[in-house]
Amino acid sequence: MTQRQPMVELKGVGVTIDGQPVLEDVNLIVREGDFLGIIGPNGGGKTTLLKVIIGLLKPEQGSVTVAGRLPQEARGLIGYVPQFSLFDKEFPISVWEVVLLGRLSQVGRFSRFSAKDFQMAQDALKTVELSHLKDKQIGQLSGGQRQRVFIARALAQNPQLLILDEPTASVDKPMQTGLYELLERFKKDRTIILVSHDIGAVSSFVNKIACLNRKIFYHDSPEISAQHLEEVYGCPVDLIAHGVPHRVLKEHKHHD
Amino acid sequence: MIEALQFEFMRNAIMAAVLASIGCGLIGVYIVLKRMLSLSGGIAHAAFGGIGLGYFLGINPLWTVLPFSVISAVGIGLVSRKSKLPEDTAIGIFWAMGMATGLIFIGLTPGYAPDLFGYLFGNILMVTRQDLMLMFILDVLMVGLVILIYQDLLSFSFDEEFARVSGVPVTVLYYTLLCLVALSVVMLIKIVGTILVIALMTLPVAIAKQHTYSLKWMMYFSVLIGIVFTLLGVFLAYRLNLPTGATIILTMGLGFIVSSLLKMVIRRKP
Repeated sequence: MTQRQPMVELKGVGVTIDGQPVLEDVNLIVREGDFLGIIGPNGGGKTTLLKVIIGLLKPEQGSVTVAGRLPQEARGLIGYVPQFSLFDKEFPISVWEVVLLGRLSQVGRFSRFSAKDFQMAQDALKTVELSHLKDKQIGQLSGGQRQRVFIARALAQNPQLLILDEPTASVDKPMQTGLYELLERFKKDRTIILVSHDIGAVSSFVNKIACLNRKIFYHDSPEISAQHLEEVYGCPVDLIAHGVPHRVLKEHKHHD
Repeated sequence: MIEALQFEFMRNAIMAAVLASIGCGLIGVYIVLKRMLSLSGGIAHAAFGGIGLGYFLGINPLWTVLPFSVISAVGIGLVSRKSKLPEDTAIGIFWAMGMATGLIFIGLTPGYAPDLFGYLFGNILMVTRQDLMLMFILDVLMVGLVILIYQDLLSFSFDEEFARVSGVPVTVLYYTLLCLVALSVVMLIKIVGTILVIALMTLPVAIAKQHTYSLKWMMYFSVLIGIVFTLLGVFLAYRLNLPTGATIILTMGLGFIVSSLLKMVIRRKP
């Protein structure tokens, strides 16, 4: 089997924010077709790491490439679903217009949206099952629905690399499963990086997992021992909640 | 009112109300949505330096206000984005320095400064044909630009981080928007003066925002509301012999209150 091309490559990345080291010597290779889950404690630098990858934050040390390019030059390839979108709830924009903005990275400057753009935005909305709310103003949706709109916005881009920051934070359980199944389908020919604190849920879908707490602990298989998690979190981690002590991450639920 | 139309200053005033409302309705929407109100206030006050310069050089102050407000707009933007200063500190500095510069220039100008009050508080009845020409050119520029970069501006004002990730030139847009604000300041100075400019930029938008969730309709409404209330203000000022700038603002302010009450009544109905 030939080695797949690296999609994201970080070498010795270090970031300090207000004098505090947030990331230290992070080395990471995500190959094409990988579905990487990143877990770790709050404040462990997960969102910072994502911002480095999408080029919103320049690391003080080390280098980052996306598809062999600088992140800023790879923007059309990356679909990003932020954890919180800070926006005015009263902003005069409809669900449809938000999703359509996802196409903006694919059309040239000063050019109009084409029929293909409309089609892709429509498909993305259908994928997250929100077609019926397409004309609603964005602030009138519930938190979970809004999260799905932002996922649709990223999907509409048809990105090579999809990056999601806690996408299930405000989504209810059935929708969570739906979302993971959606990502499952999506990952066939794409690369996904997903940040979550929900270790159990992530583990059954990803094929690689990394634990991040300022430093990265990276695995090529989606299995992590309790001892390892303790190392990352710095305190004993209770894995019993998921019913399989010490080996939760092996619990695969899907049936194919 | 009809008999007043025989005067050229009255016809000019009506033209000015329409032209200014078009540009400012469009840009005002972005000012309100992007929360750039105090920034715009800073630009408007700093522009007073340009008025002083105009007096000093003995030319129509509108021609000196134009570069002056564009430069202070970019200056405020640069300082607030590049330095560690909080944005409102940067605004405050430019605000005061611009006004002080204007006063120094006027002090250096020999003799009495005519119509100075008009530039501070506006006098739509003093709008000249030359002013109208400038307003028309600015309108064409603003409307054209907004149409051209509509989607980029939408993405930028809705979610700046996502806009950046999708490759929208966020920094360029930010400065473009600041310059557009500076241009709208220029358009409004003759009508309500540097001190009242921000009210005219935001009141029509605030009213429009209460009644629509569509960005485009918000723009159309803002333009229309701007025209209606400016004309109403001019009419009242003419009839009651009051200062035009202040009358326009108060009329619009009352309009906003009525609109808010209306919205409350509509909301209460099931």
